Amino acid sequence: MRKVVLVLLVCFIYSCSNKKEEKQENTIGSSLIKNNVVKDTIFTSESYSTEALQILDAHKKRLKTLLPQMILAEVEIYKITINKIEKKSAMSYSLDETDLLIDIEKNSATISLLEKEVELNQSYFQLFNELSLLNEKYKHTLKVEQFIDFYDAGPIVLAEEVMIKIDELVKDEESRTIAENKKQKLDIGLTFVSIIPGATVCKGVLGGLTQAAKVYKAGVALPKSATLMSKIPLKIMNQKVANFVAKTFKNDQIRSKTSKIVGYSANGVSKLASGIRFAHSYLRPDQASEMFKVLENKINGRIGDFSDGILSVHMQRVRDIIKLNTKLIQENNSNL
Amino acid sequence: MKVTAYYIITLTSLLFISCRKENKKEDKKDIVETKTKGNYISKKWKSTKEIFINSDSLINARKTSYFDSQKKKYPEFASVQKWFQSKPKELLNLNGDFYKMLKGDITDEGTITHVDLIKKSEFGTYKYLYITEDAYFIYDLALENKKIIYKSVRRIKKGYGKQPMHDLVFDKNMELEKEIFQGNVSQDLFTKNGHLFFEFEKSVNDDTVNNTIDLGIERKF
Repeated sequence: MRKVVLVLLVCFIYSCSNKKEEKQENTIGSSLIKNNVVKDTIFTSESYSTEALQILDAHKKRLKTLLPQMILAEVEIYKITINKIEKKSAMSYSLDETDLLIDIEKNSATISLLEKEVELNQSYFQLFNELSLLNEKYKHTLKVEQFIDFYDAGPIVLAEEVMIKIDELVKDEESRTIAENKKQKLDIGLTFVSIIPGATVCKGVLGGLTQAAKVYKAGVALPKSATLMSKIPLKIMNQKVANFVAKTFKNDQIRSKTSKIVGYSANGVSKLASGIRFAHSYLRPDQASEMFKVLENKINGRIGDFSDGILSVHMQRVRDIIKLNTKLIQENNSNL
Repeated sequence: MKVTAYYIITLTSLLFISCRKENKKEDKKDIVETKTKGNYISKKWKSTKEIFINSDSLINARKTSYFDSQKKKYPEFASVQKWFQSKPKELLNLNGDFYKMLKGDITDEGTITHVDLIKKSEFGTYKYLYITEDAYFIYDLALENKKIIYKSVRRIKKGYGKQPMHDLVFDKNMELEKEIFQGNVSQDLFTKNGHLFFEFEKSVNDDTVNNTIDLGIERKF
């Protein structure tokens, strides 16, 4: 009888406990890497450039669907923030209290904006990682010099200038809806930069992340580089950002591991890589291109246009590095 | 056999009890005072005040009993009364009545926040409503060494429909320096179930934020 009770208990406890599924390792990049890389490819400048451009094109498509959604999200955050700030004066009884409430609101808006940027750059860094893997692959073609690091292209920062644009978009949208629905207008007309001054902080945090990734890659161990973390403006750093940093480092470890494998083993990468999960919550490329088309001069169309502009600047930077690296291979070959 | 049966019963009952959520029913019945129900009487305009037929002595007796009870309930009240009676410059030479603000009910998107205003605020201040002929003033006052120190004041104009709300800033010589606009609000002063309430409401786009403040027992003098 006791045995029966014990068995029942065990069953009960087992059913109560959360089943932990084995999580696949979530890494940045290498989601689009092909498995069938032939070991004995000829390493020429042409093959480097075609491979690099292939990677770039694949990622560009993805970023093109992701970026307008990110900007739309920022517009929404901004709109909600203005509304909430407007309300604060009726939720308090003195100037100090109102200002305090508004400050809290601004701070939380800044954090959610930063989170969006981190999310976007996590996706953008996939591109850097894959191109860095390509650099590792072609490393032996260079004798003395090193390839230019793709991380030098820097993160996509949606601060200041983009915020001003968002401000404009929101105001235009508001006046459009007023004209359409004759809605009541907001009392205060502030600009984005004055409402969310912390938006400029994003630049520092994201810049710090790329620096951290680069330094780590250069051979500094993670505990030693802890001081580097403190250099990043951590004022508004929260759990999500911290996770992101951890992921970046982890991914870097994976990359340095793969580089040790002689002749570059693609299998080693594909086993570890599983892509990033959050991307599934966004629209499919065809849906996104539909949504952000510039047919009518409505906010979505304008965002689509605007995000294409931002993206082309960043893509050009990556293209420039690819060109410079191709040139390096050419020079090395001619010296032979 | 019996032992095991007890064993099972106690174990299952223990698990059941520990799993169950604590559903302690709170006796507090905090219902926001709305104008739509109950014996709502607007007190916004002086002209609509009831004409008292009571004798002066009776009114005076009520007055003293009211202020005595207020002083007993709230430790800072006596000092505040002195402050208002001394006619400081912050009152802008306006005559009116002052009330201690007791409780604020803030309604935003269906969520109601209850703010206790009897105690000191986060900034160490008490809030008093000063009602003059054509405006409401919310005074933020701190008590230090039994002396009242003025912190800030907010003015809400009386009127039909929406009226401007301003935060008033004084310079060193206590002259009015700045009036910071905080939006247009609709306001009302009313009694309900024997209590006096002040209410102001701000609409932002399609939303409205309502702030109803309990001013305590209605004055009958």
